[in-house]
Amino acid sequence: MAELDSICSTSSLPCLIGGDFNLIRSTEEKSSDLYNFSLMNSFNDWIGKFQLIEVKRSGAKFTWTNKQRVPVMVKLDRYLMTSSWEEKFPLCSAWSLPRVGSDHWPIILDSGETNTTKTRYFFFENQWTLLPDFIPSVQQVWLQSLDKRPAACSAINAWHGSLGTLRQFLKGWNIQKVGEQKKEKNELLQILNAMDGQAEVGELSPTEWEYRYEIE
Amino acid sequence: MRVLLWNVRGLGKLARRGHIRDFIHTERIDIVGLQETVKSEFSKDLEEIGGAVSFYWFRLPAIGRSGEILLGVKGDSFEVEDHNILNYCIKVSLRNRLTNLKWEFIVVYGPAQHQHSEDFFGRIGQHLQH
Repeated sequence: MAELDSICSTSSLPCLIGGDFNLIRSTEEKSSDLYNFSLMNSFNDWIGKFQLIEVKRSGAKFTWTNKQRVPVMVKLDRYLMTSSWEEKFPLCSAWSLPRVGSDHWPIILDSGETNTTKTRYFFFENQWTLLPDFIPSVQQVWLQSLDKRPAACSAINAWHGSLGTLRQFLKGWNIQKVGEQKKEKNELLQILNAMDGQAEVGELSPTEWEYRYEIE
Repeated sequence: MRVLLWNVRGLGKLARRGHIRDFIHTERIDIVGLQETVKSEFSKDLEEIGGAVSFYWFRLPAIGRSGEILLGVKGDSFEVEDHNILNYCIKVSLRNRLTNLKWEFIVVYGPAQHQHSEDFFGRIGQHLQH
């Protein structure tokens, strides 16, 4: 503990500490009733001294078992964070995985950072209008949506409903188009590669070159 | 960012290494702290655990009554700016490659037998001089 002591006091960066401490903080953390209170106290004193905060964990209450028929189970493993670490990761959480093999449960911590994945807004792409099947597809979907309108429906609601249906359709349609374009591009790239390979041994006629540039 | 901690009681068993590898992939683990990784054939086991994901590995070998610790940090997620392998713990200074946030992680393995706590405190005290 003296070692952890020195590390924590000299460290100014946010700090997360975790592992198998082989220590408990309260009688609740052990399933049998043999306790070492002085050890518990010194562990808690140390945690208090550095104002460490235990990361609350869901899942199994204990993290170790002696695997007996009437097992003794203890919470030996945990995550502790400095207050500056908590400030950086206020939404962090922890849980245990099912115990297999070892007599300890694996425990996971998630820092809870909000992922940078963007909300999937709908964007209209101008290039769609260049595709021959765009206008017919939109017409078809719009007409189909007319049938789905409830009998008594205000014009504005009907309009919104049809727009929603159209957005949904276009999202899917776009994914499919992008996929097709990607596939076509890959095929063309393969042809280019093959042709360039041939060109390296000087066997490309002018018409072949023309074809190659056209693809490009 | 996700951390996995597990006292594995030996990496010798193929199944155990398989579990860790599965956890790393299915739970998208960035930092893995393992205790009691006894009798590990170091480099070979580590390669197997990481699979296609590349980790920086640090190891505190078992000395006397303190058990072995292995710490792995996913190279794509973090730069390890500093590391210290000490008695009963490994400490790393990390920089998140995406956010640039710097922080420290300490993985500990306390002694199992508390009659050795005095020894534990004593040994640790020696480190304070460094």
